[in-house]
Amino acid sequence: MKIKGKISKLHRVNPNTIQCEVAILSKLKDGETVDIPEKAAKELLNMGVVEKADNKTNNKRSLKNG
Amino acid sequence: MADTRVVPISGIQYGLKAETSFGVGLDSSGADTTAYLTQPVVQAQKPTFNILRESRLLSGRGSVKNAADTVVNARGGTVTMPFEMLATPRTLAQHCLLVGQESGTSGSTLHEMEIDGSSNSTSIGGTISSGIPHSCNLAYYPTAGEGIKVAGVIVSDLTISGDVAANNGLVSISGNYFSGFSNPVSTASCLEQTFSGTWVARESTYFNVLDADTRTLDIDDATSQTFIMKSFNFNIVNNVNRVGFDTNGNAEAYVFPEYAITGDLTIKWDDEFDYGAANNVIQDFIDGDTLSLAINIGDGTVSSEGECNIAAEIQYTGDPGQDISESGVFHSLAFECVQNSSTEAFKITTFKNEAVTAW
Repeated sequence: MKIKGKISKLHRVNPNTIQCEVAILSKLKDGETVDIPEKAAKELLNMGVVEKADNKTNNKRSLKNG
Repeated sequence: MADTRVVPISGIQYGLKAETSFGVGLDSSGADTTAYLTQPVVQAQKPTFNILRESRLLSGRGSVKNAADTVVNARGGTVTMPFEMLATPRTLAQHCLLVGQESGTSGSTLHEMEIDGSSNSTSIGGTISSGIPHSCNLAYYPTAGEGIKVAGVIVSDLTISGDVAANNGLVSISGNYFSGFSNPVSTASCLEQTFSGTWVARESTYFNVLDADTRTLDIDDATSQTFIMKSFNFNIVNNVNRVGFDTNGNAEAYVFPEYAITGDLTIKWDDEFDYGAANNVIQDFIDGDTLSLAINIGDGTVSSEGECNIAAEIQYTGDPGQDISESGVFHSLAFECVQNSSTEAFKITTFKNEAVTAW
């Protein structure tokens, strides 16, 4: 599941008690979007410190000749 | 030979779990398999059974009491137990509910408890619906076969404290549990209990006063002035009494005749809070002004764990004192919270993405 960190909220998270790795947590603290296992993502979503990232895919197809 | 067993205080834990019927054990079929919510205390204090013991020196017994002339009555008593812990999202919200007996929830999930003179329960003891009113089974657990279960547990008084110089600025809660189920029976409060369920782990998110983005207080001729805070305390008391008795002599109901909230706030003497015109803290006391106080831990949105908003309508109960330190002079403001027209005397909003029924 893709999630995006809420910069102003993540400092309250204890890195020793959550299911995602420290390196991932660092990226989230920087406001980056990461793709992590659903269980770990839901834990952070429940805590209100991340939000679901936009999963929209680009459906535009390029036109090819012929 | 004497036994060598030692019980370290850290080997004892206690947990809470909301009741579905007032004063009834959640699992009374031998070992209690309830998934209690482990409370994050440093030292679990033992529940105290406050029951009646009569000891009389009867006439004709001579100059010492006789063993046959004492009476112990477990019926009609209370059980109390003190607690103190760092506040976590669930413990803060649940203990506020246990003392205030009022709950409002919204979204995913804001828990709001307000004290306004009309929406707080004046008694409990009837039907429980979705965790409201809120009473718990309390499990005090040193080891198998030695546990104590207390039914009908609420909180009689709760203190919410924050101090930038204590506990690293983390907010703490303390107070006392209360129960009117003092007569041990298998279906309510009981002794020698084994708790074999898988208890819910403690939380690891806390509230830090150094994270309070909003700290405002009305003063004299100005509203919502921002103050520099040293500490705050709110003490909420519901003056609970047990009434009536069932076939075991346990309480039929609890009554809450008056909710009283007092507290104190220590803030810096500066240009926004001084003894001069327009910003005079002494004038507020002399005039009997009612002042709006707001302490928002977090950005005020209360949208993640570790955030809460506290709003109170306060009146100073004494001439503002001084807290003198190397950081300069601070005002020490003792107050009580009062209902101010339609504004609640006290309101606290916290975030925990759990329904009350999960507690």
